[in-house]
Amino acid sequence: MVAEELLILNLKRGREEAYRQLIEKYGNRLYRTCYLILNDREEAEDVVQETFIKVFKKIDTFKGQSGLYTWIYAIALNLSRDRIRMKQDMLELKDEWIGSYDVESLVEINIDRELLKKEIFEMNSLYREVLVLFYFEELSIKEISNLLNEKEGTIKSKLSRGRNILKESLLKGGR
Amino acid sequence: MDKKDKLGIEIKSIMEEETLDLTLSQKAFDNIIQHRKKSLREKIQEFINKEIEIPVAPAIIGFAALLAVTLIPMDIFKSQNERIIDMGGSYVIIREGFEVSKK
Repeated sequence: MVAEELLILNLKRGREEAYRQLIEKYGNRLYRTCYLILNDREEAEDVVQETFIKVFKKIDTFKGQSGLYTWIYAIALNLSRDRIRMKQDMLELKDEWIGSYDVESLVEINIDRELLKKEIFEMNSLYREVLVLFYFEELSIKEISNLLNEKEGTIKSKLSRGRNILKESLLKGGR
Repeated sequence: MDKKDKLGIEIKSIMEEETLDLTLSQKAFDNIIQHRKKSLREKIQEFINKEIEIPVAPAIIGFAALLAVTLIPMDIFKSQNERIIDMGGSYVIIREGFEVSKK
């Protein structure tokens, strides 16, 4: 934590080394997450650039109420969502998920990796975003809820819906 | 929602596999660094090293105007407004304009 505080202090002072350190520390991780959400390498790289530029501009306003990476992450997610919104890819989702049947309770299925990969990247980004944060970033429901500024119930619903979409596809053997 | 169930493990594994080779390009890195906040020292250095472009024509005109104001005497046109009449050894100066003296 002390190292992070020092990094923030040096960023506020405008030390070039601190900026390099920040990008080296979080750049690739952020790029990977953005790519998984956006499913586009170029766009993901653009978002990462925009994110850091925004971070640099706003570093003086950072109060340290959340971790530095969480703060950076929130900016990146907002920028990613803006891009997705532009593509009109987002769905409106109510707080409660009303599924056709409970796929979660189905017995373990045989997983076709190729099909699963295809489904992950083809599913609506609204669900993929939560799956990425939960499985790839290994964040808790509460952390995702804070990050996306949404209720924990909404996050659980999205996660459950996302998993169900994948399971249904696997059960059907593809759409 | 278990992260370690079969589906969860597979999702994580696919995501990691798909992003394994992803690294930020040097171009992106440099572009980000260019936009960083600069320290006071750098700002001063930047200001000192700044190249200033002066357009030649307006600069010459301005310089000439400055020279004219400073070198040409202020009463150069004054004599044109005066007439001196010789009346038997006495000179009468007639001015077309007049000055209001301050008290």
